[in-house]
Amino acid sequence: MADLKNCTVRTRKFMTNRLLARRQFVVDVLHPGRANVSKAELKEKLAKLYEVRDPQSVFVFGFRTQFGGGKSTGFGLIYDNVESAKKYEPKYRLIRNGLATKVEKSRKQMKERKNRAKKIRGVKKSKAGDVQKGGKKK
Amino acid sequence: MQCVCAPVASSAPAHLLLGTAVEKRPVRRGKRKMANVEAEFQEHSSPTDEAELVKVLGDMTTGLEEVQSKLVPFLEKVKKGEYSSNNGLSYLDSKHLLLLFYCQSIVFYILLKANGRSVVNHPVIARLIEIRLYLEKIRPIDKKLHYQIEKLLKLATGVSGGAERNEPTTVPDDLLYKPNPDMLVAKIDESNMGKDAVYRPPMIAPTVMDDDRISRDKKSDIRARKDALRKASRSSLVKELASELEGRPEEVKEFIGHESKEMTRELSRLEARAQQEENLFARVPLSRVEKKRLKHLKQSRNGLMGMLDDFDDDISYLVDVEENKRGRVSSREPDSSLSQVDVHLRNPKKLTKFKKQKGLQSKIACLGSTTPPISIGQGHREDNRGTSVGCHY
Repeated sequence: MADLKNCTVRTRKFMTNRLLARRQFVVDVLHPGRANVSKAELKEKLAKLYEVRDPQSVFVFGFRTQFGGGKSTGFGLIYDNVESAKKYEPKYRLIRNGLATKVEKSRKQMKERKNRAKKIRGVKKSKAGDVQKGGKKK
Repeated sequence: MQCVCAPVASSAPAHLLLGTAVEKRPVRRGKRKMANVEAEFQEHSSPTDEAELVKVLGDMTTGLEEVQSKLVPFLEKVKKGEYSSNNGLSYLDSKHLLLLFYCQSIVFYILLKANGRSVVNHPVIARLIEIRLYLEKIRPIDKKLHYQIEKLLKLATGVSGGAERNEPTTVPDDLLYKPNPDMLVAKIDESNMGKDAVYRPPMIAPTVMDDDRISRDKKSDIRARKDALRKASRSSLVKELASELEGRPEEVKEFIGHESKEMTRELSRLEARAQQEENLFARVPLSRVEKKRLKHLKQSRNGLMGMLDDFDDDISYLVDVEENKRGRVSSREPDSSLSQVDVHLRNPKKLTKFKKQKGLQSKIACLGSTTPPISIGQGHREDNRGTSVGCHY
């Protein structure tokens, strides 16, 4: 396969969103001959383009390659600082950027807990009690 | 009998100051005249008329006496200079003046009539009209000041009488006369509820009651017309006609391969969708209907309706002369996809490059010219040599 050619990054519909302390825009990436550009690479390029001090406050998402290849379009956000990013960004994007960690919730455990709670009525549905009950049942 | 009110009547009210407004002499003389007139009428007129007239004239004389009694001390004061009008007249003063002039003029007019003089084209008529006009003009101000004046009167009657005649504009705190929203009267009169059993809506604003409801067939007619209009706007013939009529410059769109109407419509819809996504700054997954439509369009029909057409394909058979020599040389133009398929079937050895399309289920191998031939469809050709590279549709 041809080695990674350089890609062109253009931004459109630029807007400064003061309410959410960020700058938002539509990103157009031209990458002829390549499948698509990774998000990390795009983040780097945007950080250089907009001269941001902290590349961790750049978020990109929603990239779709156009029919025929060679061009993809997506969205980009640059927050003023990481604190406002942590405040306003949805969890999954923070996890993608490495600013938050995913809480592993076992689906089975949750379902079991719910089924146990169905049998008790009122405020007595405390977790410790549930575990105990579960234990007793077994 | 001379008319002594004339010199007063002829002066314009705007230029008068309070001092020269009313003279003592004309009032007294006017009263004397009245008495004379009374005597005269008693001689000439009928008994009922006479009695009435006498009564009316008597009223007038008493009125005049009253006015005189009030006016004389007032005039004294004015002569002394107690009431200064350096700042001009206030609204109420001017209104009083005007009313007084009007009364004067009326009295003079009656006098003339009583004497039997002709009143046609007499300057007093003009005077009357003028004053009447002024009074009409200042009536709206009266309305506006109504609230303030009421309040002042209440104050005046409330406070035991020694208050002098204050000018309303020199009250220290004008905010006392601000409107009181608690005293607002509701537009909707609740009293009419209990009168009769029928509910009558309050008539606040004029409304139109349209009696004519559009009947069902008319509605369907209108809808059909709208539909026809929409369909016509989409058809290419109508568009051509319209652009011709308007004199628009001719648009020449390049057609590469076969252009299907559905495909173009679907593409324009997808584009519109992408535009909206950009505006909303969010990605929305395709709905079921949209997915079904796209799937239907991507099915292989007639070379995928030109979706896979590529310029390279069109010229590749021109470039690779070697391959062409083996099979039959195609002399047709490489325009339609139909001819393309024909070319393929005739020269199976010639390989065309198909671009790898993302999202398509069909995986058409992208090969160079030296690899073995592709079999398309059910190959009945003997030229089909070698292994067929997996080509799934």
